[in-house]
Amino acid sequence: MQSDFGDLNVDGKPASGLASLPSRSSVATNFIAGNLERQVPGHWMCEGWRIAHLETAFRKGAIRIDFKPAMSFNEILEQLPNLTEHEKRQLWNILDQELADQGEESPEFLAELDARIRALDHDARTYSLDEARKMVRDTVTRARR
Amino acid sequence: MYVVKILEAAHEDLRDIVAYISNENPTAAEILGRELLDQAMSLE
Repeated sequence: MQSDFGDLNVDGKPASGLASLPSRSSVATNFIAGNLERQVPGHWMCEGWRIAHLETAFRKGAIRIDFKPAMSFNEILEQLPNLTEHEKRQLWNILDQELADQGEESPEFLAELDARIRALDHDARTYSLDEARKMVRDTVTRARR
Repeated sequence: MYVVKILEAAHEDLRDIVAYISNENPTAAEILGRELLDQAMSLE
């Protein structure tokens, strides 16, 4: 990358790395420059190349990053058949995890859970393991008659 | 580790489950009932 603000030849690393900065537009240079100090890793720093140079270069348009717009839902659907089996499985796992994290218990289930937890604090009748095992045996015995 | 308490509601649920399965297969019902209790108590 060459500009009249100094030698910015960094083998393309800044261009790919900067794409992950929190902006999708090449016009948001002020925002990008304002965040460079915190977000540009030290190993990108070249001799004679400073953040101030880059900030100025952004502002004057000497450096331009063209961000691709995000894919629409329909575009994602169109691309699904092009994924490999492995990629599809990865996608499946990611979505499965995301949905699981959202907690989909029904209000009725949560209300019942709350009621049972509260019951623990109100001296609810509890059964020992032996009592519960006996109940199982007795229930089965009745069914066999 | 946890303290596992078998509450009345859980006791009744287990009895209903075992009774329901017992109608078809009492042996399987007894095994399942025992297994459910063992699994619950394994949390302790």
